[in-house]
Amino acid sequence: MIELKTLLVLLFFLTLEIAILFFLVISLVNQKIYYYIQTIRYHRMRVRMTTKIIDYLERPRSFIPDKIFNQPFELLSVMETFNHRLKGGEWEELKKAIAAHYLLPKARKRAKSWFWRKRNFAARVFSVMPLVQDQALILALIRDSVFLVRSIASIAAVELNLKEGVEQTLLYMAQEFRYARCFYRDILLQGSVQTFSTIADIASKSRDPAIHLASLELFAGNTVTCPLPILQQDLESPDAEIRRNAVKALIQNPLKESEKILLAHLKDPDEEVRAEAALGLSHFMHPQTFSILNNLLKDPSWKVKLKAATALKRMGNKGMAILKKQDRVENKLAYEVARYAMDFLD
Amino acid sequence: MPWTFWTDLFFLWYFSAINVVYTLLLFLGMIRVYLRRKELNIEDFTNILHSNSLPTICFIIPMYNEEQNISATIQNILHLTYRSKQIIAVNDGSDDDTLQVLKREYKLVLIPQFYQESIPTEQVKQVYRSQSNPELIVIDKRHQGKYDTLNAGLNACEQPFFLAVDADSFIDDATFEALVRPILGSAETVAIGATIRVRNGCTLEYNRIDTKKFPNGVLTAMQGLEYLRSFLMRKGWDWIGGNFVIAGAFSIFSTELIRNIGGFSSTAAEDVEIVIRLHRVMRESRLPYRIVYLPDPVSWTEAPSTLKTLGKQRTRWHYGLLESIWYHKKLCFNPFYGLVGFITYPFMIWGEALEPIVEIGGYLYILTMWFLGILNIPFFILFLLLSFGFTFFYSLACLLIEELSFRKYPSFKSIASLLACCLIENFGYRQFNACWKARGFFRFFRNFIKVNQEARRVGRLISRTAIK
Repeated sequence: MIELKTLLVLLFFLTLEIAILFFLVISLVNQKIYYYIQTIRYHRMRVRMTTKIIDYLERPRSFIPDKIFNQPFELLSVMETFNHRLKGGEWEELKKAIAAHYLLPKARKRAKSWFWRKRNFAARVFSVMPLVQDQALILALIRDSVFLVRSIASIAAVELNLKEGVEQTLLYMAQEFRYARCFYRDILLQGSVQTFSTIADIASKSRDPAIHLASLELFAGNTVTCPLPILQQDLESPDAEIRRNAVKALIQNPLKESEKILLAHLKDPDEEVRAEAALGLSHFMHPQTFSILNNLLKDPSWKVKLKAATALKRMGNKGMAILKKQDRVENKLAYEVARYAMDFLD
Repeated sequence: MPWTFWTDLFFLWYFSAINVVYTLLLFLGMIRVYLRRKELNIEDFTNILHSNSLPTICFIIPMYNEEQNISATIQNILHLTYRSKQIIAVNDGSDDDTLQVLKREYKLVLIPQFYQESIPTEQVKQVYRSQSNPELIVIDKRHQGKYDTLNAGLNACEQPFFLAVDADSFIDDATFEALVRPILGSAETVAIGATIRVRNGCTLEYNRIDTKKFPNGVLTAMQGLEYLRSFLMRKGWDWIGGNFVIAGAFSIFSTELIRNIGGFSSTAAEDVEIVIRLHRVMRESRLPYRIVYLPDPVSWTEAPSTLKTLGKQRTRWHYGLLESIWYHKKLCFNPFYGLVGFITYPFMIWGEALEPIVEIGGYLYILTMWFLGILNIPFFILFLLLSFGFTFFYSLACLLIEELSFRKYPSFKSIASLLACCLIENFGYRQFNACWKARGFFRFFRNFIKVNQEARRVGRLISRTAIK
């Protein structure tokens, strides 16, 4: 009797299992067919939208709303592709017209949504078409908890040169980590001179080392004049990373006091700061600089030697002659680093 | 009660419990895959490709007798659209022409050993750099094993993260782009793994994987299916923060942290051991950390194509698993290690290490019952159908999830082959697998003294580790 019960239970599970298996097979086949149809539909839609936009760009005329643009996600993706490639002229006019008609009203609604994908849509629309009238929404999106929303909203804020937006983006760059940091760095580096003066202003008022580090990284990545008072403060910082970045910023934007500062930093306790200072000397083609760099090829630190060799290579024929002159017997390490620089370094 | 009652009960309990855990993991994995797909659909990767700010990622490739594959693997990495990369290929004293192939194809020149050895390894003979592709550095060292080769690469790595890649693996460019943000997104991330798939029969078209000719054999298809299942399960473990395996064919680690904990240790499964050690060290240091497992199928690895090589691989894997379990036995049911010590580690013993023994025990039990004439035939057939049906159901669900998410098998032929494998893997393949794993079990006990010595060394290494 017990055996019969057990068999019935097993039979029940077996039937259930067969039902699930059947359902899974049907779902698998359905999905395959559905995906196939969707792919074709999606590609056709994109082709039609792209063709229409190209047609407007080739034969400029006033924009007439068309139902083929009535798919906001696909339209946004097509617009982003164009926006990566085109700037100004007819494209700006057409972008404004399409966005105003199809994207911006939806973006304004979705910017306050509970769902992050909708907020992401809004941020993407604002980054394609940033308008001053949407600044309140952009600033709200910049404070979003989801990276894929706030990072995109900061593109719009920096493009509009919103002081609060630049400040927030710099703060994110200072606080966030690795790739996220790099993303904000890219956004800020694309900013205007006004953006950089805002950054300098924030850095001069802030005591947060992370903000200083982020600002220095930006000044080291762009050719804009970095105010000396900020640099001087950071060049004397107890934090080696800040000093190193300050030296880098100084090299990128040389001032008349640069050579003296770099020579002083050749005695820094941190080898990476010394290495950066050695590299910076490549801007100053005095005979004594060659002699200093030649001596640095014998430095005990590999990093310092390497940067000194790089600097010499950058200084043209005279620097190359010093590198070639290194003798294996006299100093094997200096010879090796000179060979290495000649073979590989820029 | 007869003894057969208790034995029946044990097998039924083991079967039900293990399958309940697998089903739960499948559901958790499915949710993670779904959430990841949502992210991927909206992320604009052009920002990543256009960026000038991204940090350099270092690829460490351990090679031993890889003259056939190494050139294609390095070409594949060199052509990734991610621009800032450094490749450190470490030759583990190959007997074939691996180094000569590299010298010939990449114009290697001798360079000084520019780094200090923070982890002791076998003697490094020479360091080379490619003149044609300066991002490629080749280290030639005496043979010691994969763990030592990885350690030699780690010594030379100057980047914050390194990526360990097998010399016979392909990286899918499109999927790699999608990984960049999760890789570098969080300060607490100490290790990242991604899904590995079987590459046999696949080709690279413009550095993107083409699976139209997959699978090129029954054995390959079986392994393809196994990989699908196991990686979905790992995704499930990841949900509860207890992932124990990051496949060695594609794994990313924080360079500084791995150096601090003494590098990879001498084991047949260094990828499992290092992840367990990371869990242990981070918990003992009371520091927040994340070991992330991403469902994106990034790396495509060459799977064994003969039963002999497959058997060797599975034995080695199981032996390595047992070694890792023994090295870190302190974790077992230890509340200090949280979920890792209380759920995942015991499951590793109960659900993975002992599984082949229970399975073989089950087969022997059935044979004995049949021999004694007390086997309940209808019960046995129904149980067998239920058990095989479950495996089929599980594999099918994995295939469906794949079809709903990454769709890396676009052809009907691939899907049909994998479906057929779902049906036939229970007859022969599964039993072979159990035997190979059991062989690993016996090898473990044969080498127990050596394993125990290494376990003590790892223990000392952990006690010396100080992470801030």
